[in-house]
Amino acid sequence: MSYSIYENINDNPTSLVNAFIVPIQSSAFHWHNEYEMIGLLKGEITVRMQSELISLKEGDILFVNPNVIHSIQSVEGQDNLCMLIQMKVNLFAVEENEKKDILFYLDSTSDEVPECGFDFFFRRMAKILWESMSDEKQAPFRTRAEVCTMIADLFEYVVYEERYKESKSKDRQDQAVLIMDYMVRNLCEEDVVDMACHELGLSRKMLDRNLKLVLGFTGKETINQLRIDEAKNLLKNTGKNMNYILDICGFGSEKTFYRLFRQETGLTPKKFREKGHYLSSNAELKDYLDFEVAEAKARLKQIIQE
Amino acid sequence: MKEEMSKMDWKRYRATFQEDAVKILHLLSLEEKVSLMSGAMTQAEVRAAILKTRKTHYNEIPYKAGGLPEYNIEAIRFADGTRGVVCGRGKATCFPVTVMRGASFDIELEEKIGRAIADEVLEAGANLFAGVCVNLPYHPGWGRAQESYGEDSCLLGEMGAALVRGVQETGVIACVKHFAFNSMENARFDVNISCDKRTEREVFLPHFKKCIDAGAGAVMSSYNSYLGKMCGQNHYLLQQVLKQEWGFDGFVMSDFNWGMKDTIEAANSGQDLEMPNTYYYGERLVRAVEEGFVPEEKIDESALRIIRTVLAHQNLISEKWKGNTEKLHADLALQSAREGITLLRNENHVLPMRGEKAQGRIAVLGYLAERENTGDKGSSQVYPPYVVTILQGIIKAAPNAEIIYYIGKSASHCKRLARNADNVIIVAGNDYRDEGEYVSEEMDELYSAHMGGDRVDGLCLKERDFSVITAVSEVREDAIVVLMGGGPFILTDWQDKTGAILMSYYPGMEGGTAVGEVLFGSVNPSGKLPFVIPKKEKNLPDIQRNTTQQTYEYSHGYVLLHEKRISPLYPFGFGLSYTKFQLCEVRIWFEAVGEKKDNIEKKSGCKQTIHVNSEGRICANVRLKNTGTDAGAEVIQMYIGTPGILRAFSRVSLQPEEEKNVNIFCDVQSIKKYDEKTNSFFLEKKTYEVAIGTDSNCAVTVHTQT
Repeated sequence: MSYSIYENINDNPTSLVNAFIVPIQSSAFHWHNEYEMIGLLKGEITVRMQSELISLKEGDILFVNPNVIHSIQSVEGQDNLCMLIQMKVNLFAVEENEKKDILFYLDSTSDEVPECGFDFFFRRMAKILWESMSDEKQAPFRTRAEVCTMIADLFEYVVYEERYKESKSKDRQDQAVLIMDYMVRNLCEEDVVDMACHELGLSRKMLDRNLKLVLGFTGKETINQLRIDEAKNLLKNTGKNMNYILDICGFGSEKTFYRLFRQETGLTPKKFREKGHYLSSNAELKDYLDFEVAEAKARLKQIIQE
Repeated sequence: MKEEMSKMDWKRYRATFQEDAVKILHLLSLEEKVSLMSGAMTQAEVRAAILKTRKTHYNEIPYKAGGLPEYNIEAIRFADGTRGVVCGRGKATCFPVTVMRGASFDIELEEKIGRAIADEVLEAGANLFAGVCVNLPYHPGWGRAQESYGEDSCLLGEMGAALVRGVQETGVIACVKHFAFNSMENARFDVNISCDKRTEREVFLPHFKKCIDAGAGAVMSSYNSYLGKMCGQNHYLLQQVLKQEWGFDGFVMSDFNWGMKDTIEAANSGQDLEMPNTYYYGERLVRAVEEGFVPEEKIDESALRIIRTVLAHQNLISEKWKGNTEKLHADLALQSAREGITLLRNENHVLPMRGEKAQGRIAVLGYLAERENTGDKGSSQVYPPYVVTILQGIIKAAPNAEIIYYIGKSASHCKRLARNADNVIIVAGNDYRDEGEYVSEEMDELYSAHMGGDRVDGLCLKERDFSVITAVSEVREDAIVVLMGGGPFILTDWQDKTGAILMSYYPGMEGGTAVGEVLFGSVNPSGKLPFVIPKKEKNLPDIQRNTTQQTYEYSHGYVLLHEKRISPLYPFGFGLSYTKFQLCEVRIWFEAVGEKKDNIEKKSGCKQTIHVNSEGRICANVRLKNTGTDAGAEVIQMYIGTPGILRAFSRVSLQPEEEKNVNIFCDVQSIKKYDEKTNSFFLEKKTYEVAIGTDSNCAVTVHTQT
C-alpha cells in the first residue's frame, strides 16, 4: 500500500537500490521490505514511526529499517525536497538466508550521534543522489557502489543491533504489520477491525494495545486514517465518483465519509479534489519533476562541494 | 588418581625394537645417521607459512624429518597443535583450549580427546603430535597460558599424562613441550630463567616427568635458557635430568628455527633432532664429528633413539589404525566445553534461564559474542570446518526468545537495550590479539600492530568490554557476564554489579553450543578454575615481560596467596553448580606399599592424625551426595601441606539424590622434599595437613605425621 507520489514513481522491484529526490506531500502508514534513508534537502516533514513523531528539517537524515510502519506528512504551506534511498536487505547480508534482522539507529534529531557525525551521511546521500541522476551507462553501477560504501560506513560508524527470532515468536512490529496488511486488503469492509481480530486470533483489546504501542493509534483511529488516505488518493489521482470511493474505502455511509474527511483535512471531499495539485497524469508528473531536478541538482552540488 | 586406567609400559614396548634398531644403525653411514637428525623442510617454506605470506598455512601439511625408506625407517611427520591438529583445512576438530580442558579436571575425557586427536593426526598423514603442552604459567599473564592445563603441577601432570596415553593409543608419537621453564612469551628467545633446585624439581618439572612416565615418545625443548644455557642445548636438562635420571627413551627435538644455535653444543647436550629444517645439523654436524668436536657415539645415541621410537610406533600404527571410523570428535569437543565452563557467580539464581526466562527478550552485548573465538592464531591454530559462536549458541538454546545482539560501542544504546530486555548477557574478554604466541610487528606483514604475546596490559578487561558492563550496571545489576580468555581476569571492580559470571575460556568449535546450554540450563556447569583469581594483580608473582633474566620463586598462584595469607576472589579449583553437593564422612589413611586396608575406622570432619612412611600412598574416602534437583558433577580435591598444594583429585558425576563413595590417592612420592645436597627426594619428618574439599580453600582437614 503506497499512496505517496514518490513510491508511485519509483517502483522497480528488481533493482537493489532506488535513489531519487521528491517533494513529499503525504504518505500514509506504510512499510516496505527495504531499508530506507531519508535526507531533507529543503523544507520540513514529519515522520511518524514507532509511535514517535520525528520532525525533520533541512540537513536532517533519518534511517528507516525494513518493515517498520511509518507515515510522512509535509508541513502545511511549506515546500520540501527529500532525498530517498531505498536499499534491498540482501545488500546488508554477507551470506544468503541470514536469519536475522539488522536494525540501524541513525536519526539526526536524536542524541545518538554516529562516530563520524550526521553530516558525513548527509553528504554521502547527496553523492549517491548525484550519481543516480546521471544518464550515463555507468551511473547505476556507480550509484550501487556508492550505496555499498555507505552501507560499510553504517556498519562501521552507526549503532546497530541484530535481532534473531523464530517465526513463532512474533514481536509487536510484526504483529502490527499483519494487522495493517489485513485491514488494507479488506478496507471496504465496514467492520474490518473486528474481522482482523478474528483472523489473527486477537481480542480487540490486544489489537488496540498493539497498534497503540507501534503506531500511537487505536484500531479505530488507524482504520479511519487508512480510509481517508485511500480516499485522498482516489480523489486526486482518479476520476472515480464519490459513492464508489466511499464504498471501496469502507466508510459505510456518506455521512461518516464527509464527517471523517472534514475532520482530517478541513475540506469536503469535493473541495479537496478541486483544490489539489496532486498529479493526475504522467505527462504532468514529468514536468513537475523536471522543475525540481534543476533545483535539486544545484542543491546537491553545493552539499558535495561543501 | 584413578587406578583402573590402563597403563601400557611404553618403555618396555619400545625396548623390544632395540635389537632391530641397532641392526639398522650398524648399516648406516655417518651421513645417513645425521640425516635422521633433522627436519626436511626448507627454511623459506616454514618461515613463509608462519608469516602467513603463503596460501598454505603453517603446518598445513605434516612437516617431515629424517626417514630412510631404503632401511624401512619412515620419516617423522610432525603435526602441531594443542587444541587439535593444525594440519589440513576445514577438517580438524577444534577442541576447547588446553586450559579449559584443565578446568574439567576430567582425566578420562582428556584421554579420549587424545585418542580422537591421534585419529586426526593419522588422517592428516602425520605420525607425531606435538600438542602436549605442560608448561606451568608462573604468572597467568603468560601469552600461551591457554595452551597449558593451568597453574598447578598436579593438574598439569595428570592431564598431560592422560593426553599422552590417549594420543599414543593408536601409535602416534606424543611430543611433550616445551622443556622447560617456558612461560614467558614476548621474551622467549632471550630470557634466561633461574630458580633454585627445590623449585625446579618440586614445582616446574614433576608434570613433565609424569608425561614421560606415561610413555611419551618425544620431547620438544624450549626457546628460553635455563641457568645460562639455551634449553635446546642444555646438557643438564636434556641429558642429565630427562634422559639419565628419568630414563626417557624417546628423542628430543628443538623448537622451530630458533631453538638451537650451535652445532657442537646442541649435539653434545643431547639434542637429537633439529626442527623443522636442516641448518646446524646436516653437513655441519658431519664435519663436527669428523673434526672430533662431537663423538660419533653421540650421533649413534641420537639416531638409535629416533630409529627405535619410529619403528616401535610405526609398528603399532599399522597394526591398530584402520582409518577413522568414528566421527564423534565434534561431540567430544562439545562434551569437553560443557565440562569446562566454570560458573563463578550466580546471585539470586539468575542462572539457569529456564521456562519464562528463556522466552523473553534477551539482549546480548559485546564484541566477542559473534566472533569465532577459538584462541591463539600462532602455531596452535586449528582450522576446523565450523565454529559455533556464543551468539549462535544462545540463539540455538533459546528458540522461543527474542534475541537482540549489539556489539556494545555506544553506552547509551547498551543502556537502552538493557532497560528494555528481560535478561542481559554480556560477552567479554580476550582474543588472539590480546594473548597468544607472540608475533612482533617486524615479523608480521599483515598487521600493523603486534599480535598475541603476554598480557602486558594486565589482567583486567579491556575498556571496550568494561564500558559495556559499566553502562549496563547503571540500569540493572543482574546482567550475566560470559568471559572468554586463556587465564584469569581481575573482576574486583565490577563483579558486584552483575548477576552471574561464567568463564568460558576459548571453548572450541562447539563452544557456543555449550555456553548456550549452560545459560539456559540443559547442561549443569561443572568446570573448576585451573588457576586462582586474585583480588588484585599485585597479589601474583612479580614478573618482567621484556627481560633477559627472570627468577621463578617456589610459590606462585594459589599457593603464593595462601602463603601471603591473602584471600583470593575465587580460589583455585572453584566452580559453582546448579545443584548442591554435600561432602561428608571424610576418612584418611595411609597405605604402605603392598598393604591393603579394608576396615578403615570412620572418622569425619574433625582433626585427626595418621602416620605415613616414605613408600606408599595417602588415601582418602569421602561420601559425596547430590542434594539438589539437577544432575551434576563435582571435583573432590586433596591438598597436602601448609599452604596446601593439590596432590590428587577426582571428578564425580551424580544424579539428584544420588550419593557415592569417592576414593582418592596421593603417592607419598609427590609430597617429598627435594634435597639439594644429595640431589634426591626425601620425606620430611613433620606433621602435614591433609585437606579434602571442592576448592583450595578446603574445610575438612586431617593431619599426617611421619
